Amino acid sequence: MPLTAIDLEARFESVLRPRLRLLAADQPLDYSEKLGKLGLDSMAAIDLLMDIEDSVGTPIPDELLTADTFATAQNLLDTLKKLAVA
Amino acid sequence: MQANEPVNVNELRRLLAPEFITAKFKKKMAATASPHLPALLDRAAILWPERMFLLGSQPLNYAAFADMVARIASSLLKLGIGRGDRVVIVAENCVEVVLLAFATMRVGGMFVILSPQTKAEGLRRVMAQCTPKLVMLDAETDFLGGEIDSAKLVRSDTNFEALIGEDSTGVPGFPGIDQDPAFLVFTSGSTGAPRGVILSHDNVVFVSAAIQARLGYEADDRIAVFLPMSFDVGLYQLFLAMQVGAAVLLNKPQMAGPELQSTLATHAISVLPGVPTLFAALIKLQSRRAVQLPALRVATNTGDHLPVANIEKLHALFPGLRVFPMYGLTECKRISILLPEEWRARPDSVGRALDGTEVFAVDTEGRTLQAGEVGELVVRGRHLAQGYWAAEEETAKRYRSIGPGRARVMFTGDMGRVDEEGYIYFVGRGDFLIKHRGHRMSPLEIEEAACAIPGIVAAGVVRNDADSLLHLYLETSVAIDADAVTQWLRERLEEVKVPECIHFVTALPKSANLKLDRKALRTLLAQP
Repeated sequence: MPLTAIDLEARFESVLRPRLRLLAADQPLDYSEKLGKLGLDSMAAIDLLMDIEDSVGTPIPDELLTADTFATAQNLLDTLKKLAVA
Repeated sequence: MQANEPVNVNELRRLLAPEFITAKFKKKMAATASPHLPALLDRAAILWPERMFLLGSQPLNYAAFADMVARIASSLLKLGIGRGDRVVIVAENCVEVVLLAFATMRVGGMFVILSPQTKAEGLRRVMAQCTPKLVMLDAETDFLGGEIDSAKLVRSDTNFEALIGEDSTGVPGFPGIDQDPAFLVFTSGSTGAPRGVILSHDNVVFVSAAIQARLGYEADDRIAVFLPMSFDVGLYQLFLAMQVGAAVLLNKPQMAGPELQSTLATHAISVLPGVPTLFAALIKLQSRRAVQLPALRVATNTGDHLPVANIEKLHALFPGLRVFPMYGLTECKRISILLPEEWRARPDSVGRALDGTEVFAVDTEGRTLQAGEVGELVVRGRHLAQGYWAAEEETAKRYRSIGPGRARVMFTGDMGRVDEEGYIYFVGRGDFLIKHRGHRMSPLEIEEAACAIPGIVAAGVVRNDADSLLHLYLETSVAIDADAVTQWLRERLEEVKVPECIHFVTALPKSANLKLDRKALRTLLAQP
């Protein structure tokens, strides 16, 4: 069942964090920081994509699979929220 | 005139207006080997002026590219940059990197492209060795600007246009000979300091033709480069494309993420050079949702072994795709290529030596071994680099004359065997260099950086093949926080060299002469 925007926000970070190799467990996530700087390389971004689709239950359409979508946590969350509403 | 006598293209271009470049002349050009890389570019610009060379947001055809290169060369000469001078580039893949590289060679200089991940410490060590006259940075590497005092500084994204001259008048022909260095590729040296492999024009022209003989790139090919140009596999795609009139799409490494399939589809990419992680990414994405990529016909793998299972998966996902496992070392660029039709019978081989080159195994005394016997692999041929920049001792260790004919060979440091038909099988590394995430690195560089932390007495790095992670063992005199060590290393080393696991021990294993015992260090991995 697709998630609502509120469920999404609550679970988003728990899905994202394990893929950020350079973010310590006790360090707060800065939503505007480049995810690349936090350790999300291209392979980790693909794994994250799969994690998100598994947990959200809907595929992310191809046209949204851009470097921009995965640039920051905020960009990614905004994209997912739009999908949840749609 | 002999068939392979080089044509002085610069002279001809000046004398001949385009309407005089006849079909007969073009036919001759096409059959002529270029003695150096500026001639290879001129040849492409005459044969295929309208064909695209660089694809993407700033597309350039061969004629336009050659014109830009000549105009930049004119500016470089005005800046006093000429034969034998060095230009260092620390930037992500972009058109400006390629333009400056070719312009540097055009005036007889040599370029050095460093990884965009380079840290201040790394740049300092390279600058001290090769003393460049010009350095180019980009927005991401701008923070390195403080390291540059004696060289002119240019930014690929802000003031690069100032380097593009009004025209190219006054730029004389290539001032060197084919033995002149064309560029340096920095790699981990055996002492831990980065070493610049000197590739001559002749090295590059020869090996590019030998690679082409195996891979068979075509004029209509569109090649996607996701690997940074600091990695020679990315860089040489330019020369491979240029010798057949093919096109190259330059990508930043992050484009090999979720966007990979759409990038390949949008640009109708037909050739994908990669490393095992890139192909693993493509397999994952394509298995999740198949995207039609009808143009994709060639995939070449290097850097690390591509598992047989993944070659099978690529064949299943892309029927008709030709997958080429390859083996090489920056010190001669490419050693061998296995053809797709040879793969089925010999899935574990890395192929036969390139045409006109030789590979054999030697024992510890440097004696040639029989077919099938395991020893250190050594290579002979015109592709052997000139040595390491300003490092005579290391050059003499790597490049030696052996056998009754005193032939100059390159010791690879790799253990392997060569069968009766000449197929090469890789067994493992013979020296202590580490292969991690497709990069060859010296543990000494990491250990030196760790030992610079106050309170650290000794350090030892080992790669665990079981978990594919780097483990750093530290002997300390005071209590030190592991996160602080990681932070310190991250500020000084490229990300790939920062060990994932840090262990504190009371004493590191040492050999009789008090040197780190690397064999014993390995046994620590088994401990919890």
